[in-house]
Amino acid sequence: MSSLWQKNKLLVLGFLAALMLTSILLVRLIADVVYWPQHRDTEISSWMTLGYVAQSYEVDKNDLVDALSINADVRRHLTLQAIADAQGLSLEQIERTLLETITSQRANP
Amino acid sequence: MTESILALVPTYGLPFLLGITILAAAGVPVPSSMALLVAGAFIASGDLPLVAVFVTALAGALLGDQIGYLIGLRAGSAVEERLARKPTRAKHIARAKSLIRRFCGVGVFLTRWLVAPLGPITNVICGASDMGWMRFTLWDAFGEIAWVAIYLGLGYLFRDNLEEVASLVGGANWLLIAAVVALGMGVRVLIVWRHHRHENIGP
Repeated sequence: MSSLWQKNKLLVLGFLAALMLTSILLVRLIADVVYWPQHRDTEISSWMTLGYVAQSYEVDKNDLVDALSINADVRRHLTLQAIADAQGLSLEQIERTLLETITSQRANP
Repeated sequence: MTESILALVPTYGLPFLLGITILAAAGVPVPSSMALLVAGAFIASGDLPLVAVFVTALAGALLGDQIGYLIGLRAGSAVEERLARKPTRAKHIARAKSLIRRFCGVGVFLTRWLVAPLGPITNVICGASDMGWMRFTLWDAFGEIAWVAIYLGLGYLFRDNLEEVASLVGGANWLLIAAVVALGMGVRVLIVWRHHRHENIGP
């Protein structure tokens, strides 16, 4: 046994290292699955589009478009940041308007 | 994950997807799988068209893979020309190449979607070992169709948990690579050990 170790140090060490790495990655993967977040409302972020927000919050997209008074001829695939920039508003103002619309739409579906 | 890639997908749409899939397939470390997950989510929200996204991502990946393959083909023959001046060495090289070539078909297919991080280097190796262009391109196309479909599908389904699904899929990818390496080395250790025991017991 000892001479096996002497002759193949690198191979055995490499094998143990690979085994350890595999175990660590496996534990992390299991943790990822176990701690999978339950359904919750995603926080509104700058990269989202109105369509994305509407779908995530399960509300009608047209109501969001109306609430921000976006013209129908304007491209609707803009991110919230782009909408804020175009309207000269802050992202917080856009978010507040959206959340108000979502709340009222949920109250009176 | 940066917010910027999330914003780039809806802002620049198809041209962005084409660019990032070409670069990633050619070996530049850009997060193309993540881009596909995000694109899947924006297909679900009606911001991106499904068919156009699918075709664009597939075309980009195929183009990028051709770049890696051609680099391998050119560099491989240049290196070989210098190494193979000695006839004994030429024999070894030829044997190594035919051995590698045998695994290139399935190898190319699996490194498109199952162990995607190994994709670019596989293109170069298979090009260098003179894998036929038609064979490469066919396996490549099957694999990339699977890659685009799987990642767009995951993004579509898990659109509210993009970061989590990206971390999960990335983790699974590296786990698979580590497991295959560990398995290979384990088999090798076992062979050496058995051989050693025989020598000790034998007459």
